[in-house]
Amino acid sequence: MRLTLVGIHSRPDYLIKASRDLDRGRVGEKEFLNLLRISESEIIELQSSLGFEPVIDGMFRWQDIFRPLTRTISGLSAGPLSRFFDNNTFFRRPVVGSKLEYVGGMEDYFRGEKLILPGPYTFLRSCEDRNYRSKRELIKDYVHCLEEITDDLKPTEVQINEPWLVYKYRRTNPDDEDLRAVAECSETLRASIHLYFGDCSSVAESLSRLGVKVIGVDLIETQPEGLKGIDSDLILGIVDSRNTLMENEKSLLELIEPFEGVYAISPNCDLEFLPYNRALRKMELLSRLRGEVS
Amino acid sequence: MITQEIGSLAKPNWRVKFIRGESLLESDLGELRYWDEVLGLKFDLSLLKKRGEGSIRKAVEHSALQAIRLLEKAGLDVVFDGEQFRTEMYEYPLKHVKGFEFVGLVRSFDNKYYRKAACVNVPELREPYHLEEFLFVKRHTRRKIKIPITGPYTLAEWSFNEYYVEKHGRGYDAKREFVLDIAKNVIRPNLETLIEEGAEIIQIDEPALTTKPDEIPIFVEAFNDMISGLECKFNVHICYSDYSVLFPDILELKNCNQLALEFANRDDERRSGYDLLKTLRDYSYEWELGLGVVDVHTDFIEPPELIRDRILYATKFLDPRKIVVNPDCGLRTRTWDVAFAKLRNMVKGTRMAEEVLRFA
Repeated sequence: MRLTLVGIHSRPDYLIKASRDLDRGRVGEKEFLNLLRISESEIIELQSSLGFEPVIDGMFRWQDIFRPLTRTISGLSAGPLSRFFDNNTFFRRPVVGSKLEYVGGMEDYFRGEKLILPGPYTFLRSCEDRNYRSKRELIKDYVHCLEEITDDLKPTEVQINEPWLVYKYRRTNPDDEDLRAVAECSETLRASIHLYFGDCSSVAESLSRLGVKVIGVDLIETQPEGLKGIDSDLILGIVDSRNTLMENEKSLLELIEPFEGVYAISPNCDLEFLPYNRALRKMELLSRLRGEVS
Repeated sequence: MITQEIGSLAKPNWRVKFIRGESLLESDLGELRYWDEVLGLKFDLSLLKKRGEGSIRKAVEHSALQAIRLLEKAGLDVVFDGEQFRTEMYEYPLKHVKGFEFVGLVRSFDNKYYRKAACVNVPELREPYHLEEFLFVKRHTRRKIKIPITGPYTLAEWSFNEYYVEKHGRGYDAKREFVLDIAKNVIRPNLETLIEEGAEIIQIDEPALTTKPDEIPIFVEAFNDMISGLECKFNVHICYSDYSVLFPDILELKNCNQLALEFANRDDERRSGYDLLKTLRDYSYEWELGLGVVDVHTDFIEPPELIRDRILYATKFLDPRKIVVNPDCGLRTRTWDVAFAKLRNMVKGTRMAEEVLRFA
């Protein structure tokens, strides 16, 4: 059973201070970048020591799930602040002003092995489209950009995040057209799909039916019974990235037990919703669990 | 029509730097002298030479006094002190509450972070945290005073809920008891203390209220319990939200004097920022509407004519006697120059709207 992180990690305090100082002109870009590299190395080393594989770079350079895409895809810019689902966190809505084309430069934002990108449905629902007449065309061009990014970076593993798919279909049956676009993207990028911020059972089941090989699920928000009969390999998001309360190890072991041949365990979503030290505690818990299961 | 502010004004640079122990530049002192001159005040600058508890206190009081005079000079009917006694609206109150532990920094947006607390036990008030500020304002103005206080839902929603999740498991019950306990053990004693000392209008700030629409009934229950039997006008302020999710639950608020909302931020030439007013027409309610007519996120100074037009548009849907005019939110992100110009025009525009209505 593997351990994996599934989204943006919280920044260490010294990096938060440095980013504030950078904004206020108290430190230079060079000094900030130096600290950024140190923090990336630290989180990579930490993951390795705890048994996480493949590792992410913490995504400390990502200010939200759409940046740096807004800097490396022409036709896309960072728009006004919007609430990020039901969190007290805000993201800059991507604004589509012209045809989307990857112009390079993502290598400046990637030092890990696993690349995590926002999926096409989440992009479609989050963006403000001022250019495309059809959502199909928009998704096609967006996925093409993601394909070029993965070709460019050659990560060991790719994951696309689809919180919007869960949010939209948490209480209704998913629309096949929406799911097919996401499943096709997963196939093109050879990517797992991570589903979070709600009960994802119906979406996970439908994506599995469409042949998606690896699906990450938010087991904090989803009843495990709802995931029975899913053929895909599952990444079980079993620790809560949105609450500092530490989970009980025994309960987590009982939670995992019914899932035969679990592919991986992970936090349910981005650890950046927790302060850095609390995020580390959750990672250590996952590491201990893996030891128990092994 | 009554004009009011919503809450915060920016903290002047001289005050921030002095409290932090940073050296003051001539431009900072210039800012202090400028506003003293405009507002007819005088500060003993020698106090800034030695930083100690007494001089820090004097600096806070003077910035509060400047803020009161600024709001008065702009012509507002209802004033406060621009929240100069507070650092901000989350960390400041929770420092006065038992049962919370600050656990670290969490991103709000971009490179902006806030210090987030976890609830680890039943919240209990250590001591009322707005009384001193209220008494200061009361001593220094003859205008009506409205005291803003962060509401129980927002304090809960912006915190990690460890204690009640451990008790109930995740979900509605854990959140409900958390919010109700803050309302009962923290906010209500604050309200009682303020009312005992003469508070007549208190504004409950709930910017987080629409974050989880399913939980709006929790706030309604908390509000109704929290103010039950208290003699005071209670307003509720909400901003930057999809207000449609408030309805119909919000109509269950009892004895809510006013709902103050942001509109100008989303407005355009077709007045589409005020679309909610069409919805409100379909409901029956007793409260006044605090009508946001000034965008607090831009330096654009709304001309009085624009303010007038926004108010007159609102009167198509609302009884003018039920309209109170205010900015969308607190003006803390704007300089005092901009805030003052915006508020002054807001008052002028309100008087112009009254003229039109008088002859209609």
